Amino acid sequence: MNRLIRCVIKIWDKFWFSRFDPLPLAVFRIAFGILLMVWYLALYVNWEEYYGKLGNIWLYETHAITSYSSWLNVFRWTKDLVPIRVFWWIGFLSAVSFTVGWRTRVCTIILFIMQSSIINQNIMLVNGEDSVFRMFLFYSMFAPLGYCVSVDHYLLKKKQKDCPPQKEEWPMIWAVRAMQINFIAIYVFSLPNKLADDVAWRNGDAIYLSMVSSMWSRQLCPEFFYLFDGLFSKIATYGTILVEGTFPILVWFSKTRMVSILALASLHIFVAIFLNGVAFFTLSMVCGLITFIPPQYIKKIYPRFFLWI
Amino acid sequence: MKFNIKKIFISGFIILNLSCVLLSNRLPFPKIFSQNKIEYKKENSSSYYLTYFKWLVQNYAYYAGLNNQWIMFGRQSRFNWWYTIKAKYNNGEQIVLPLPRQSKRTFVQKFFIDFKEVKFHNNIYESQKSLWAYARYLCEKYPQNKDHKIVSILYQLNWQNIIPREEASRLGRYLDPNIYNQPPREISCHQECPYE
Repeated sequence: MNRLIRCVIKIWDKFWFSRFDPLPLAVFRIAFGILLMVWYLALYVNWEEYYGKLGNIWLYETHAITSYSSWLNVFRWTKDLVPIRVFWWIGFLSAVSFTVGWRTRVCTIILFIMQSSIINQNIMLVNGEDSVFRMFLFYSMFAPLGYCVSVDHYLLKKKQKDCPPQKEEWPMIWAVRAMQINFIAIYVFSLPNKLADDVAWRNGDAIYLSMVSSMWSRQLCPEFFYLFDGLFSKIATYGTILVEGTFPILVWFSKTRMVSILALASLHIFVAIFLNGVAFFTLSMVCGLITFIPPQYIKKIYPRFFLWI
Repeated sequence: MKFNIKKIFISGFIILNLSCVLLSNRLPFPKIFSQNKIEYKKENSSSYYLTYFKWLVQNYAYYAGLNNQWIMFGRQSRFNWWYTIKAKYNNGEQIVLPLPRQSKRTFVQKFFIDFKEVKFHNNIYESQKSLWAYARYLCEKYPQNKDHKIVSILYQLNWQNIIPREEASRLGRYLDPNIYNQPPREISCHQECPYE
């Protein structure tokens, strides 16, 4: 019994507290930061309408304020004191700073508070990416995002005039692992629900239905998905099920990891191209995949760049 | 093996966060397999503490943002639907408002700026409270047309059925030619929110 407990603790310790090369995390930070910047830019025009006027009507005139929504909403704390536009600049500049890795931890906390405020201020506007951004930012507050390829790292190196950290000085992986597990949970929970909720996922018609929807589809060759007895719809539907269903398992094995990451990234990029209104959500999922890429692959792709950094 | 106090705290924190994800999401097994209902005895202190603990975790999950129910592209719609939103002015004139999904948009507006509009319409669909809030907002945004003041907002729900795939393959088209609509739902600009 004692041996079993020791064995479990050892596995737990190795899984959550091993030291890791934070290079993929730095690439994740840059990709996710750029996505956040673009997202803020896309919101620029409607920011005051969405989170000012419409948000205020929703919160104050529909009795929507609950003990929940009153908290963690910086727009509400500062109502009538700070113009709503100021928060757009705070969010955007934090995203820029997050991307370059300057004061990374502080920026991550600011972005998390901003994201929670955005969600709580106007629940009618919550989209998939809002939830994924908030989840990433929550775990990022504990993860060593600015450990390398960042201004923080550059300044620290300059200050210490030291050689780069050795393997035993690398950070512990637990926050990244928690993010990875939560990321995988998205597929673990949504795939069985898809299969149970809608027969179209079982008979191969799901992609046909989304491709001909005037609401969700960009209408790029919708005919393609019902011609040839729905061959392309079936391939795409069962392909989606296969990729989403196998990813949570295959990603843990070194031999299958890259294949499953590339397959899932392709799926999400396909969704971003063909579907309307979900591009930020699906690209945020591509960002999440970066945390699974082994550092040696990244070093292979951009060896000179990272050598220079 | 070094398993210090710091690691114990972090382990607790990890378990808490992952419990939030587990509590907020459920696998659909009861829908697939028949499952006997679990009955709780009323006067059972352990079940009380369990419920209280669950409540605490759910509160934490809310603030940490870990209370999401992950359903990615789950149920597919069998019809296309859209609202036609009009403003009614005090001379009786009804005008289709120049809103993103019912007016001409530039490429940048359509593919970049309006990215929340589709989900927004999906979120307010048939939600009385949301439709009221949006109507109130539109009343403030378009208060008058020429010299006439706004009276109410009209929502008209339109839909067009999608033909099942086998039939679409045979017919060579995927939409039913008929467009259906509901009588417009009128929301006065001067009415307080009637929904608690």
